[in-house]
Amino acid sequence: MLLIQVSELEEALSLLLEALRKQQGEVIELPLLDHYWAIAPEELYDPYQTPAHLTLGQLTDDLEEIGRIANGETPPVSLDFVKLSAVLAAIGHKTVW
Amino acid sequence: MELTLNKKLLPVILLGLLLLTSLLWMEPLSNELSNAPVLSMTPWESWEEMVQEPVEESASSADNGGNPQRNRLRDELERAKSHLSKKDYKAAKSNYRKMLEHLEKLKNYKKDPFKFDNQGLLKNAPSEQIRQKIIDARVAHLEQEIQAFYHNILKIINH
Repeated sequence: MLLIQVSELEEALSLLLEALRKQQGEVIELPLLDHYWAIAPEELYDPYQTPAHLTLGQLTDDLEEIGRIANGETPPVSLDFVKLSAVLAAIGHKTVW
Repeated sequence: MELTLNKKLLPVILLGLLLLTSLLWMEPLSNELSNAPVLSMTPWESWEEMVQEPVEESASSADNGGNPQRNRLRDELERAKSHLSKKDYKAAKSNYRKMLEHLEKLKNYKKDPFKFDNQGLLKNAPSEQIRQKIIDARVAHLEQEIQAFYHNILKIINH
């Protein structure tokens, strides 16, 4: 069983975002980046099988959804973490600090 | 004669009593089953079957109704309301709303994929085959998201 402490996650995220803001400013620019390969959830956590069903996520779409949550336009649900993680992964992969 | 008749009737009376007891015992169970939210909705039904003509129902109308005969999923959601905690009902409803929003998104993408081509990826694709592959993979992604919302609704309702 994997145990995730929400408060620890919150603290780490807060520190990371604070560091990101200091390093890169309020708006992060990631040029020429939008589509990304995504693995179906059924295959994502199965190390015995090589993923065969790749789909294409779109960061602009994910960001739009995150923005709508931030504005209170749409209620947050668990699957929004998947979208948020795609954006966070892009920041992690494409910025250096 | 009277004694013989009673003897003949005794098994019948006993059987009748047994049947009556069984029926009385079964009644609460049958009531419970008929109220269970899982009866009419099974996970092997797809979201396409559960949400018919989604284009006519906007995300905002998810809260207010629409045509109840067209949307079995919303009916199931409303039926499950009495069995769910306030927290679970809210979560199911939020996932339902997201599902409708993504159905709309899928419809719009299928209608005009180039409208969402922010990177010029489709426009500058090296071949028609690759261009189509990108479109198909993007459609598959949106469908997968809709499927995920749908499964989460089922999980919450059948919790």
